[in-house]
Amino acid sequence: MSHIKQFLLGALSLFGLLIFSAQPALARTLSPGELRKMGVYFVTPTNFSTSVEGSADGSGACYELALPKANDLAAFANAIDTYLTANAPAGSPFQGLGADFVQGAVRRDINPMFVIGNLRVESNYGTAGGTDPATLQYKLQENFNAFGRTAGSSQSKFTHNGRDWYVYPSWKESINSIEPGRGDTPDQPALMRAVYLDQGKLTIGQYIGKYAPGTDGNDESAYGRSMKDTISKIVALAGDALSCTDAETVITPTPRTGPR
Amino acid sequence: MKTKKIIIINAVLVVAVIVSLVINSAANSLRVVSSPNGSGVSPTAILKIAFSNELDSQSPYQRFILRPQAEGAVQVKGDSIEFRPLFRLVGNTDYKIIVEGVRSASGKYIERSAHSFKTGSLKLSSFEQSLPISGDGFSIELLETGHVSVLIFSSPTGEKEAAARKILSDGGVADERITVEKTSSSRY
Repeated sequence: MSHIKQFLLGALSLFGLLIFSAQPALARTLSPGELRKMGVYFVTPTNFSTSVEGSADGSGACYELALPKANDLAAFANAIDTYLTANAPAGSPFQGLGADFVQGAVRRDINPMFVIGNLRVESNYGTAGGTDPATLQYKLQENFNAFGRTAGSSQSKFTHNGRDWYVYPSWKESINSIEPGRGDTPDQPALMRAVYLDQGKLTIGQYIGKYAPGTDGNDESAYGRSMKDTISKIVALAGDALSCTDAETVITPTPRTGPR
Repeated sequence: MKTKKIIIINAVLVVAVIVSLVINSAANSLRVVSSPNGSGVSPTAILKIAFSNELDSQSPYQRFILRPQAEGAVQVKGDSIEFRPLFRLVGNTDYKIIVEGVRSASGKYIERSAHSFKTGSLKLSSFEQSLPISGDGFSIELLETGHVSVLIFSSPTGEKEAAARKILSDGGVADERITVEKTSSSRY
């Protein structure tokens, strides 16, 4: 009887040890690639924490691509969340990611309101995928690409009609990525920094002139109005969280010549 | 007694000089006669600040500032400075106008004049109140400027635009207010 007791006790200990050692494997978060292999697409894995606090000493301009001067980053993030709640479809995967917009953009010295303006026009805040798996928009959504971004030969991509399109690991990481090994532009703010800001594209007009040029069938004026509208609404919601030097119109008269 | 008389005369003279200076100063100063103020200012109004004298034709003012910003142009007409917004202002919003260095034709001057007002509510049609609308491959949104923005996300863009325009036409939106952007092309 005592042998049986000892055996049961030993077996129980061994089982406990097994469960304990298996904990890390059970707790491991599946990678986006693993999720996709399982057929899971429309999720936003949160594989790193997001938090914003304090201030950011930006350029001062709110209607330019460079990071504006933010007195309170957390309040700025809240203003973005409020904007998205009021303006983006309820099903937008970017709802509630205000802190990610701010964190990702601050990391690259980029204006997060430009990122949101892009999202609005490019994909209705990540909701324009539709239901037809054969379409480009569906595939873009399936691959968390809400910006219509194309891919270089060495980048993570899918192909549609002979063109390569960028694949992001998740919605969150399309705007706020710290993943190493994805090149210099792993998220939209990084792309904006490297391809636009660092090449002198600062104003809305300059940015759209390259991002969505009229020669490519775009209405730059319509695009610009939407971008400006997005920024204007967020600036109003942010209040004192932002110090915008360009939140006012300043007009100086042109001196007249000739006799008085 | 003589000393007392002299003191009284002197006092009267001093008072007279002071009164004369005050009157002279008032006559030479430039005053604001009217400006946008209070609440309920129409978002489509021309913002006019009228002064007590005709303004200098060559250098009527040094700076015109409007907060928050709005696209538009300033015109000087006789005794007034007018700001004509290119599009409507935002409804239910506090605005501030500051004009600096205003000079009249006769050389009178105001260094700085600030005017605060609040716009009234926008009169939106029931259709405008129903925006934004998300359609099949497009969205329709109302911009702060009063434009109605149609964003087309997928092909065939011609069909999507026609569907959006049909909705706008049924909603009574004039063509000149509509802006269309087709975003089905690639970005880099």
